[in-house]
Amino acid sequence: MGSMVEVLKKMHADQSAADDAPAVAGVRSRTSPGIGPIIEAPPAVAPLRDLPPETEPRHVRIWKPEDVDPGLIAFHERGAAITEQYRAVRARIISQNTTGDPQLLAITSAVPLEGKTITTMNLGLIMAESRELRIAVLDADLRRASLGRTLGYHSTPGLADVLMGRKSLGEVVKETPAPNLDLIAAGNTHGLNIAEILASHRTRDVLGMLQSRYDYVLIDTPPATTVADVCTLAPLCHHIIVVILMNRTPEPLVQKTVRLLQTNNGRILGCVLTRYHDRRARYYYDYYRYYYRRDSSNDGSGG
Amino acid sequence: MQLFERRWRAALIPFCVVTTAALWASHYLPRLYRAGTTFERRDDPVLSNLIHAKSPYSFDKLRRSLQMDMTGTRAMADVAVRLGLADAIPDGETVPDATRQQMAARARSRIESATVSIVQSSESLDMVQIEVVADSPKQAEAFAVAMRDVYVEFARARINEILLRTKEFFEQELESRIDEVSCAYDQIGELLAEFPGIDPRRPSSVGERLETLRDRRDDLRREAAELTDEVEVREEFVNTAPTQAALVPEWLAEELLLKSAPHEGDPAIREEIRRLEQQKADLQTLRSMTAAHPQVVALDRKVAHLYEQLHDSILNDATANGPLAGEPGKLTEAMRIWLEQKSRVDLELKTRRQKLALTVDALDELDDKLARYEGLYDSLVAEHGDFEAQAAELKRAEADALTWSGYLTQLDRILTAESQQRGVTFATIEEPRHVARAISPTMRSVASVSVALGLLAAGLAILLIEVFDRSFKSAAQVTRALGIAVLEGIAEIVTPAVRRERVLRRAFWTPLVAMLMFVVVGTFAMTYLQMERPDLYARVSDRAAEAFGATGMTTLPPALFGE
Repeated sequence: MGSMVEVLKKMHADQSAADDAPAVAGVRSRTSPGIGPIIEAPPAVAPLRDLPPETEPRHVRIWKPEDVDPGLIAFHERGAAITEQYRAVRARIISQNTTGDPQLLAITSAVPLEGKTITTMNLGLIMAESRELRIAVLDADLRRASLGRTLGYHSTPGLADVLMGRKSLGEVVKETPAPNLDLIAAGNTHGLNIAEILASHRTRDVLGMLQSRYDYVLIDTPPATTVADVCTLAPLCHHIIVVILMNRTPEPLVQKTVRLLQTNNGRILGCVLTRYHDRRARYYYDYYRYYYRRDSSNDGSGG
Repeated sequence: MQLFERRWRAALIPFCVVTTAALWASHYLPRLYRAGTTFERRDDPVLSNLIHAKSPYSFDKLRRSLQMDMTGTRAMADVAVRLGLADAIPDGETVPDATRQQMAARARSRIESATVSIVQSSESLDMVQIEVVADSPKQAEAFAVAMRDVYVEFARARINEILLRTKEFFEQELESRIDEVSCAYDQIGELLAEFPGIDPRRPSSVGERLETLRDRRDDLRREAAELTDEVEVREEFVNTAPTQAALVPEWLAEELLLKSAPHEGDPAIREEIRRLEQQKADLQTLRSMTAAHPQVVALDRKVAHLYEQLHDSILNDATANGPLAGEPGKLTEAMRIWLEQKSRVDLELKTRRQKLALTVDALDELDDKLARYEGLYDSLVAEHGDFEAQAAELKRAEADALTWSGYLTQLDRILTAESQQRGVTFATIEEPRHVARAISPTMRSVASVSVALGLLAAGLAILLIEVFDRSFKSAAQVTRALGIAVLEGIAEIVTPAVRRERVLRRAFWTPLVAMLMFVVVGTFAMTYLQMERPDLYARVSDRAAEAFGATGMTTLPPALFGE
């Protein structure tokens, strides 16, 4: 955590320097207390545009713990055992990508409130710990947007705005506590036919752009059994991760979800079990805690 | 365990509810109460030993028939009468068996069971325990006490009967022993009659007597021999006297004188001599006196003196009444001396002959007596064993009779004591107690069944929930059901919302669990009181009735105590 704070401080210093510099064309920076810089899209509908070049200065903000959803354990407690469990998921994701090509990963579940968004965000933060990877988290749950709120953002502007041409992709990308992790919220979906939007070619284009820009794009999708959005997105993604809430989600619904995804050419990487209680895990955690503390004291940084 | 951890909330409610309901329902189960009393029958040791050793009737039968005596038809009919379940039977009236059985059946129908056992037994002590199980503690107690009292009365009657029969037996035995003594006395008397004047038990005395008789016979034989010698000498003198008389012409006259004289002497003297001789013979034979005995010697002197008087009387008679009477001058002095000598010799000869004859007679008599005594001695020696046996038999019979007489005396004393209930004593060791505590159902069984029912309900609830809960419980289940890999299981992230939810859940469950446990424990406590401490339960129940009576609430089941 200490090293991250140093990085953030450095980024904050860079931001201060950037504030003195003239704004990038088409992008106007605004600083608001507690939220940090927000990239706002121009009022006119712009054509689909790519992300700004990496050389462009980024707005760096200091993330206070109260600004971040408490569920983002990867931010609040990097040394926690749960964080380590997310790291295990990351290892599985990276290990299956033997070619190292950029990948789109959809994260879905059978029913709502199984922890898709928190899992997506935590996974994004964890994967962003690897500095050489560029990670993006995309809120494709246009009907119940919540990904942005985990970091205190409004859901607009976002993906829907890009798909509708109201915003460029660069305008909707939001910064996160991790420098190599970008967030794209759901956007303004008012009055839109979401299924139609997601099924449009612009969605494919947007995803293609994201794939070209990021090493891993984690897409938070709606529940598979409630709406068919994920069926639209599934063939566009490299892999799908199914989130299952233990002791709650009925088995038939999960089976139905899996069948549904497979029917729609979705390649299921695996499942993540949330609120998972493993009695044996207590011993692992004890060892882990001991090991982690030793490691932190050696490094001079800890969770 | 995992299942319990996951479902304990779902299991707790049915467990508590069902357990409480079962405990509460147990208050309405019919109760069985046991009343036990212990009493002892202590026999008089003297009586016990006497009966045990001598009587064909024994108290052992009381032990063997204890169960029947206490729980049999007769006993239970008496119990029914005593408890007022049946009309009393008038004294002396014979009750038909069917009626008695009906009475017993009426008594038995009021109790569940009655157990009689001897908890301790010795020669003179029986400790008997009665345990009665009934649906009411008072009923059980009343039956236990009634059965005990009935048995005590019955046992006293039986003991009295045994004692009376024993007395009859003892009297018969004593009579028999007395007969034996009489018989032995008769046989001994017959033996004694065979040996008059002696103790047949002492053959040695007879032997001594025999020796004395033999000595006496020898003395008599010697005396006879001496007398014979003396007679022979005198006969020789007498036979030679005529030749000598030629030298003396007066011999002839003397001879004539003597021949003419009556020569008998004074008859009174002769009679006295005969009497003394007989007396002497009696002393020597019957009283075993020897010739040296002073009495015998004195008699001899008297006899000798009487013989001299007889000689003188004969001589005087011859002188006075002989053919030469009136002519004493014709006889010379020498003649007179010679005649005196001859006369004396004749008298001595006569006396010796008479004495010899008496001695021979005495010897013959002594021989007869000796022969008789020898035969008696032989028979005595031969029959000594029989006599000893008869004497021992008599002694034994006398001792037996004495013993049985003693027994009879003891028995009379015991009977007197028994009539005042001081012989065989019955004492209550333990009165019925703890009868208010039910033996069935027991607290353990009620608690076990209630908890078992609660666990069953809890298990059923868990089973139902598990059947209808199709959610995933483990990673292996996910893999098995979906056929996809489990990337990782993420534990619950404890956010403030989760923490708040947990607090709320705890705030709901803690009082609920506490209340449920309170209800269970309270019901358990009330059940415990109701079963183990009914008196205390009754007080609590009364207090509760007083407290809630005004509101019309019934908080506790009706107390079964005393019903």
